[in-house]
Amino acid sequence: MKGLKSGISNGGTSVELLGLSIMEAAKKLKAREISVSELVSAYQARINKLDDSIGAYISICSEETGHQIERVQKKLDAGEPVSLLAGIPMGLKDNIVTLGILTSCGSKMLSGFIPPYDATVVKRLKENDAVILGKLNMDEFAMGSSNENSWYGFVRNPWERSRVPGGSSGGAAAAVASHMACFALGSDTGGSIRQPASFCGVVGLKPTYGAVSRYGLVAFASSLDQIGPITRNVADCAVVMNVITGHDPLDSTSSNIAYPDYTTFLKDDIKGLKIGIPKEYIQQGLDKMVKTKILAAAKAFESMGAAVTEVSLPLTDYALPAYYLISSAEASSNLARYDGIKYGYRAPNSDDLTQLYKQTRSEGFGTEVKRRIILGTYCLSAGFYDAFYKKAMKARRLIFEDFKRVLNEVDIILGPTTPSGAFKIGEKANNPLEMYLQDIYTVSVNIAGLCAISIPCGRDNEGLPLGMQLIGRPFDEGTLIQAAYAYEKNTG
Amino acid sequence: MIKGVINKEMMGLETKFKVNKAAISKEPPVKISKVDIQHVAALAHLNLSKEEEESLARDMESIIRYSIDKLNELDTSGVEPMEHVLSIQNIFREDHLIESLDREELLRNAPVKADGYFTVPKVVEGK
Repeated sequence: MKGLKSGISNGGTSVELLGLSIMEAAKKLKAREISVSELVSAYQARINKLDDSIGAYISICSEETGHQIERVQKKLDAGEPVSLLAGIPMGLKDNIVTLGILTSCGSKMLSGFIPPYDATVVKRLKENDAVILGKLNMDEFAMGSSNENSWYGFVRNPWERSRVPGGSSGGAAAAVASHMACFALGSDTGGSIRQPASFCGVVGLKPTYGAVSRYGLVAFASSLDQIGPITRNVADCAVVMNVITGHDPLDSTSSNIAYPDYTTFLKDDIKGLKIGIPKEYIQQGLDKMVKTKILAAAKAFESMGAAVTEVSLPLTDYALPAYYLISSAEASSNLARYDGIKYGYRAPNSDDLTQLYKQTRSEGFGTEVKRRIILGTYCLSAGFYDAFYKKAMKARRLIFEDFKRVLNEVDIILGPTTPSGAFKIGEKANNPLEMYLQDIYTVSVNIAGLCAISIPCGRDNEGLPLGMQLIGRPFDEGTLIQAAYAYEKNTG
Repeated sequence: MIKGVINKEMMGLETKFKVNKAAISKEPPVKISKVDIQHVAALAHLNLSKEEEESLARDMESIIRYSIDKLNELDTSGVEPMEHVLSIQNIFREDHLIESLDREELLRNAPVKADGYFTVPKVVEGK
């Protein structure tokens, strides 16, 4: 083993280390200007100092992290070819299963669940020598838009502690925004990556359905769920996408196609790109400031050479009701597995099997999860199946065709990620319908299986981050990354 | 709350979208009674407290009314339900042995186990 270069021990102050993007950190690690241990320690110190006031992490993997640091540093010292993610400290939403590490889904039901295997994305991260710092807080079973539904307590928005970070990947977005992770993986069923990314001022991408393996992602709504990256900038997003996309025989809905090198789309050139703004997205109900920012972004894209036109998605308003019926129906079926027998919580003192099931589920699930199970069970029950579930699936096809038509006219769709900036903790907690309306711009993307990215586009009057959403054709994440990168370069 | 806007201009667009006024008037109002909540909770294997029953009944009514009123505006006659966005086919694999997870490893998460098995309450009748 070669000796470390002189000066490595003062490769940077912790502030400098925490400010490095994935690409910058990778370069310094490779040149051995900094060590893996220095970089990871800076993040761990940051977590120790800050997370009591934010609540982003459910568990910290100090022991596993220590082994990983040593292993990766050895590779770097030996000059072996390594991935851009080698030695990069990151966090995982706690519904992505990790071998030997608690995977709670933010639920009492899984508060003791230590998985015997790794999710495919975790396997890929490990193969690429990323360093897992810990598991991130979330709304219970990914059901929520505020991270107030976690059994482990809520998460605070790093920009303003009285506000929510968004949900359900609230811990992931808050950790990345507050430099408690260089990047994170979240999951998105109806906006759970994009909405918190928007509220926390970071980049969040929901890949096309089938682009990232769901093997080891605890299922919420299987026809809608996707894992995706939350990063501090667009280039980092491309780097992470390169690692997590790809066919996986362990997920029968994983698409076996050729995935591009997403970093090749990091070029500041969008001349001729056709961008559509759906008029339904900027109508009433949208916060004035959000609208101003979206229209300013459209102007910025125009000045970069893109052609921006108004388009129409008349079925916009139908996506939310269709989404809540479909996702809850799928959830009620997926969550039937929690019975207190094979793993997870088990209610004590039940000597009757049916009572064991009932007590386990009643004590193990929180209110929002029960609400969705009840809604889903109702939609699927005899006499209501056609009127509710089937109707929603028919609406789904019409919404899909609506997008298909518009994405034939334009390359990407531009709009807001959320109707407003981050709301106050407790503000919508007692009104589920109002909470669901948070997802009005994001759910249709999952309904139609498309890809979308949320990137910061300014601040509201109170200084809170706002995000804009770019929606692309299936498996065309490259174009989203290209447009987002150009915007970031020209406005950042 | 964001309400749907359906104007004439949109009606002219080349979509299958049209407002079905008849369906709105014909659709009986959705009313989930407490009995229904109890029935659904039983189907879902959930015990609900009195308070939970009441608040869930209220939530269900508003969520379902909103959803169904909205969806009933859409004429979906002749539209095939879309279960899935991908055209999925059954995927077969070669019938060869691959490594599977260890029995002890899998049982480690079981709340109650005995002799290499999951333990459940007695389900057969009699003593």
